[in-house]
Amino acid sequence: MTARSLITGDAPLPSNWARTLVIAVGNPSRGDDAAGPLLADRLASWLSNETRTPDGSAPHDVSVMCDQQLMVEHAYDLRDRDRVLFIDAAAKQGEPVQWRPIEASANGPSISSHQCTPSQLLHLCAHTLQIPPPPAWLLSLRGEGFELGTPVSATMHAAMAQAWEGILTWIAAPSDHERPVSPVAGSRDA
Amino acid sequence: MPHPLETATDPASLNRVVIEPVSRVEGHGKVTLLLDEHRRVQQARLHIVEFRGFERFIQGRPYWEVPTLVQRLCGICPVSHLLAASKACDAFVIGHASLTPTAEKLRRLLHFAQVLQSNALHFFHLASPDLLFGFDDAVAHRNIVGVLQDERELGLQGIRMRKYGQEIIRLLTGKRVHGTGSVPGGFNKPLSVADRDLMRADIGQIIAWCDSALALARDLFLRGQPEQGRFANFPSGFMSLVRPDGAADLYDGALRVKDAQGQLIVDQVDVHDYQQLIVEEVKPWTYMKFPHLRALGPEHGWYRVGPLARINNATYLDTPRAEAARAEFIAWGGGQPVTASLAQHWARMIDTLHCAEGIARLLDDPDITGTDLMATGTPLREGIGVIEAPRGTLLHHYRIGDDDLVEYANLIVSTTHNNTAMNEAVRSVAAEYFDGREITEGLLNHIEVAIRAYDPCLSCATHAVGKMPLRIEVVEADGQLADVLLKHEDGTLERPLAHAALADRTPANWPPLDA
Repeated sequence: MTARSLITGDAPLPSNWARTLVIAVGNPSRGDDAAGPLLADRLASWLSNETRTPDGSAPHDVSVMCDQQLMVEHAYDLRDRDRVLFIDAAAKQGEPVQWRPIEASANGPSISSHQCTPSQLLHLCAHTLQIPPPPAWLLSLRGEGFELGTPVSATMHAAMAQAWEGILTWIAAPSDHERPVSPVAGSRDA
Repeated sequence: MPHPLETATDPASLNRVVIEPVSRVEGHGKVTLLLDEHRRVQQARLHIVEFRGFERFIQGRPYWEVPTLVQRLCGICPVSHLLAASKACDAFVIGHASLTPTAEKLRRLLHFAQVLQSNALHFFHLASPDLLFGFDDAVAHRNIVGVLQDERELGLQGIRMRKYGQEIIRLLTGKRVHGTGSVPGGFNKPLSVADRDLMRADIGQIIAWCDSALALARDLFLRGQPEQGRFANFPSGFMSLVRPDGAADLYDGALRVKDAQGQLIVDQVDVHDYQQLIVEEVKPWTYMKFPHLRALGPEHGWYRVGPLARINNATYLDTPRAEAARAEFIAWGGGQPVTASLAQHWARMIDTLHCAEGIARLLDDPDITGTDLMATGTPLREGIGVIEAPRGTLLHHYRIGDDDLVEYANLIVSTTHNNTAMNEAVRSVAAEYFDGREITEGLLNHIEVAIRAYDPCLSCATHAVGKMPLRIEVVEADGQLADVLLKHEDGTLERPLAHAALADRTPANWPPLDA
């Protein structure tokens, strides 16, 4: 197989492969499910407007992705990352905004849908693809409605504003596993 | 009452089993089984508990936005909606004129890639655990992780086939999801020689994997006889697109419907006449309609779509390996349509091989790297686009006003075409496996296996965290909760007895329990 293959997971990575990855998940047309895509857009715009360093490189080594659902092939996007942040809306959770570290389940989680959860993706990396799973966090925002064609709720807008500050804090932190995992005080979901 | 077990004579006096949502099935589905005091099934239904509102979502939008917009209807097969909408909206740009050869071939390449990746994911990740390990295998093992533990190379092939299809989509549309590429009147981006060569580099391997996956699907089905042949096996019509010579065609053609004996009910029906052919019935207990042939009525006119229908209906497939496989499939059925629901997986992998061979052929076609992408013609105000999506026939129908905004939209998605068939599968399995027995996860999985064979996308779903546990309840006729079985996202099972514990675990967005 040549290095220029679409299907091998061990093909050389591009030279601009960022060490930090942010994956936002959600459907922009389903009410509060749009939280992930909207935050991804805002983050991508913010990163592009950041002043470049004297050598012309970006000040933050961050790549932003957005998809409607997590699928198995996203495991390949986790290769050679120092850390990953998943951003998603949540149908039910206690706090409007929650940060929590996630790990590949040692018990072998089932993948019971076309889509994967972040921890299932990490499990695929660790146990199947021989891709060391990067340290990962899930930022989840509590949504109220997910109907097709409905707008983002005021509650979700407030949650997104709160989450944005946390994202900037997380981006600014060095890629060190020992850093506190909850950029927003008091919001960690143990 | 068109179907036995669809409606019980006295439902208020029966115990109720509720399964919601149905795991490994996208969206919000719920199965209810009403049992009498002897635990005999008296009523079995698959409900769709979310109003989908596709048409309302599209009406009022400018037509040129529609192909991109409709991709948000489904996270699983957005490209299918992109292509069906593009075909419908072609009329608003080029009227009756044809696409340029390059544009049509690029769309076909995109479509083959979409069907290949979707079929591969379904077979390897959703269906193969049941087929490899059995419906009653431990739930912790009966999943893709179990496949990867026991059949690692098989699981990797599934991921890589999926990735290949997704990468072709990315190269053609600019994104893995929600790109453009296909636009009303043609295609907006040529395929470079370099990207064509990149796709070519892997296609030999992909065909080889499709060959072996097809052999596996066939062998698992044949090894599972007679049970897999009997499981959710019922007569029905089959509908799909075919060319004038009867060859199956995933991208374009006319409608053919065969009956369960293989006799043509209708053939070469222009898709623009679909409303003369098909009518949709509404039932009060579900949001999803029940399409059927207008001439035969709801009782006799329902049909199946999808890979099984495509293979049963085709006079031939125009690629050699897939055609040989189709001939073997039809021979196994004695020359008549194969009606077993689980044969859908065998048919799906024939379909997949056909896609891989189709991709190879298109990549060798000089037109594929052409640059004449947009056609011209006299615009119309009404357009209908039909394709064979991974799960079956997908129909988009739009009318626009003088302001180019969509005034009328009608979508019939594959899962809706299969609504009666999925209910029939649930009734068939419920009657055979549930009657008088204690409810176990293995038994409930039989229901899911039957539904999964049709790979339904029940709500073209949102995916938000916390929406996918499986919930089964037995409710007495007086409304008291008698038993609960919860299946969580990670596949673990729980059987809480206390009602309070149940209430704590009910996601806020779940609909109330009803009949």
